[in-house]
Amino acid sequence: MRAKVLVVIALLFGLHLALLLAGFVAPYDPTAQNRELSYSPPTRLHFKDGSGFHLRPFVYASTVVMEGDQAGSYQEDRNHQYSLRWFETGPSYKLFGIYELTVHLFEVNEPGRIFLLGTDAYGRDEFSRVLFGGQLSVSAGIVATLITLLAGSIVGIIAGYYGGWVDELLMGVNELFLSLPWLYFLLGVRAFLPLHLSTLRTFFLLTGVIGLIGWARPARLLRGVVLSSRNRNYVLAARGFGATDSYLLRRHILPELFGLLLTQAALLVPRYIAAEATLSFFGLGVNEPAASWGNMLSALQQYSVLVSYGWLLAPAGALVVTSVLYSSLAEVFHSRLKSHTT
Amino acid sequence: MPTHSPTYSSMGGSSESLLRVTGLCKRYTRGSLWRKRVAVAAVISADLEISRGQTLALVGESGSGKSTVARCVARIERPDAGQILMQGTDIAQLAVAALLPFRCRMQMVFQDAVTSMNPRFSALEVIEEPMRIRRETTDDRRDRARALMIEVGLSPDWMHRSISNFSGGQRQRIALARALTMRPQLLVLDEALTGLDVSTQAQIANLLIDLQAAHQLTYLLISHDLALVARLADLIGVMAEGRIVEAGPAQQIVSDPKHPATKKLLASAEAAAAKLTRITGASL
Amino acid sequence: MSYILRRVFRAILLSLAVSALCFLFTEMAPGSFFDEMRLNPQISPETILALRSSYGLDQPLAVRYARWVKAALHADLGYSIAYNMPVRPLLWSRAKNTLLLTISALALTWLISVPLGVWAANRRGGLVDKAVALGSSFVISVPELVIAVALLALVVRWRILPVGGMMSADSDAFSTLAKVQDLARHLALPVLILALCEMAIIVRHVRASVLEVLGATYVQAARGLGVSQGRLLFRHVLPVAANPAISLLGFSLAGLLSGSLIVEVVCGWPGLGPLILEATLSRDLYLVIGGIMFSALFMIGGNLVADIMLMAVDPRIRKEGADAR
Repeated sequence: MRAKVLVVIALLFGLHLALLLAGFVAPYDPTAQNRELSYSPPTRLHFKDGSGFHLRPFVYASTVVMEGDQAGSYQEDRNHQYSLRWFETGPSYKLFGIYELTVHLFEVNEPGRIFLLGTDAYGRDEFSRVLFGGQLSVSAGIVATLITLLAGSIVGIIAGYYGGWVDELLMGVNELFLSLPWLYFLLGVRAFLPLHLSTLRTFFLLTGVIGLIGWARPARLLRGVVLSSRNRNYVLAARGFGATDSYLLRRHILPELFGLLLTQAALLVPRYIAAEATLSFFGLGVNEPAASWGNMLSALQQYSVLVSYGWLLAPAGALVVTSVLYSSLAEVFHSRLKSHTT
Repeated sequence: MPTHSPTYSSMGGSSESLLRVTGLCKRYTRGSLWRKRVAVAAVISADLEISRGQTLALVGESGSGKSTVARCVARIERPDAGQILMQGTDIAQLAVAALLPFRCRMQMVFQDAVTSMNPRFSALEVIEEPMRIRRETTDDRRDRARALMIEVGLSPDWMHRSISNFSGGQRQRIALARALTMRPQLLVLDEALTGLDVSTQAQIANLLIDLQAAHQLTYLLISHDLALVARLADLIGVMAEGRIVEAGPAQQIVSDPKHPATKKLLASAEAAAAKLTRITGASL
Repeated sequence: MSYILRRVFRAILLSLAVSALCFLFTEMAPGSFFDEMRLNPQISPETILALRSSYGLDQPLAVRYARWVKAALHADLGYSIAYNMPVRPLLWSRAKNTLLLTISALALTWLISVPLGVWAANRRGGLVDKAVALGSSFVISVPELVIAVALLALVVRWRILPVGGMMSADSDAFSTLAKVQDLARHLALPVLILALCEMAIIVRHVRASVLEVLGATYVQAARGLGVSQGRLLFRHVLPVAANPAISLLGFSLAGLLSGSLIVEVVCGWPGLGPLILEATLSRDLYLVIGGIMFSALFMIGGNLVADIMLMAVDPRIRKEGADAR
């Protein structure tokens, strides 16, 4: 059991690290187009060639096989080999948006190309785009979760602690939000906000909207915990010693919320990542040329693309991996929470 | 129903009146914004008086209102009507800020030691809480907690142990230590011995007697167990349906009960004692 | 009775609040349908002004809302600017398709979840139980969008089912039976996706509530008395486990509606989803609001029905309703 927990946490950590250092891990700029190499399949890594086994993998150049006038398919050009190099220089990028660097985790000498996950319609490296898209999608999920938990905490604590008409009013509003179909509501809100904004603004808009719509359920859960904590005898006793509200909240009630907050966070992040992806898929989220897992998947709405260029499903795979990891984490938190409160 | 004004005759000890309650009334309302509000009267009218160093026990069946009286006296609840005179000052309707100086003078010990302490706390944290609320220094708090633990019969080495690792009786001792932190004059013990096994009850009862002698404490003891109360109390007040129906010196009440409620309590206490004698072959 | 009345009143209040909320957002719209038109040099500003007033968009907010509510009560939900037709018939024709999809998915979900959940609970720790736990865990974790796209990819690649639209292009020439078959084949994929996502949640709840009842004392007692497992399940366990199941029905409606939007867009099913999406993208004000109201009402109505069903089934709630008087 413990081993599973460690594996999950390690994988999650690795994932977030890779996304954080997307510029370093990705060999190419996500917006760099290679029109002559559009829809390339993933580059194959080879270890063996005519002269035997090499420890350092290499790739072959791609050439286009013409069928009549049109480009038919891609073939490996066995005449030209390019070895994989680690920690090489490549296109410049900004780490954390501040430091300008050129070192990448791995590179292949020009004119060789290493498209680990193939390319899209414009010849952009899918692997790099998945990494940078992940930066956007995952951070959107995390920021939106923070917003939701903040809003939900404030409401839940006020409603649960003060009770009375404040509680009734807040829970009435809460029920209103709970009874809305979230995606329809999300669309509705999105509809009335500007469609085309800069990526940064879109990001904040998206996370704000997603985060604020989802406050209802966490607020209700938190309120429940606050309510039951507030009436505990030890809180009454502390009141009997002259404790102020802020003391009671700080020492007795808030610590009870941590477990719940962690579990909720682990549950909400993947859901919000999915929400951003869905919105971007519909064209209501982040727009080209910025990459997000959602808008990368919208290219697959054309059935021809879906059928012929399966590697473009990579963002879907990334979404699955992220979601499953977070869900496992949530399960861990949840079982820990349960064992603590019984 | 005629309002029976109980009379208390002060017995020995100091005749200085520490606590005097007159006409206490407390109602609870059920309901919300949408439903009709239904008022349930927990305490209709209660009078009592305790002198310094005395023990007054309030007995009655569950629902008679005795716990509510205790909570009002300790100002955990605010009464709807009546006076609570604490050494001359009426604290019944005082605001939270004005109540602060009186918090030191009276403390409450709850029935369920388990729920009256935060299970995440250690013994030290529980005991020092009143001091912490008053912002005393860490060292002062620890020293005092150590002294108190010894006084209630616990080893101070267990200071950092989590509350959940203590037994019921030990937790009640911790609760007493916590109550004594502020050097109170009045202790309100709300069913503090209920739920403990007989031998632990006896130990805690003895501890209470010792502490009372050492610190000149005054006790307001709430219980439904008349037998236990007869041992500890100087005065007894019997509550039924929100009123005090009979009151007087302990011996008098036990030997010569007048009100049917008192008789009923006495009968069940005797039945319990008889059963125990039958089972153990010993007499209490 | 008062319980039902209170619930209905609450539902109405909720609906009004939703409509107000929807309308409030119109105020926050810095851009509108007409911004696009304004950019078009062929349309004069006077035309735009005239169009705006004919759609009532130049009136103050409160007036617009009041007009809309009044009209809504007469079942008139305004006018769609993009489609150039009244909103209500537009919504209704699409809503029927969504309803068909949602109800079919609901039926399929429960048809499979209940026996599966009961089986899993019955043979706890067995192969089926473990498979159900793992499978449902996985499906719940994965975003609905991904499941839809993945299944779509499979179906399109292997040409199992037709995708896109409700009927094939030449369906008019079909016989009635063939038409139904055609519809069913088009319906299959969206229903499958929706049902799969819902099943993962429902089967867990069914299993949990059956387990809870199986562990109850009176069931143990019955077993001790020699009642057979089958009879035990049907006469003693299921009726009690049905309770939480029914309340679940109301809640799953919410998820079903949101999920149906994604499925409809991905599979090309002509329901409310693609319509509202389009309306959102083209800023068709009344259509968006109408669509949201429709779906919110659907949900509120569904919850109301679930509440009433629960009351009919659970005597405790009936009693609580009577006590509160």
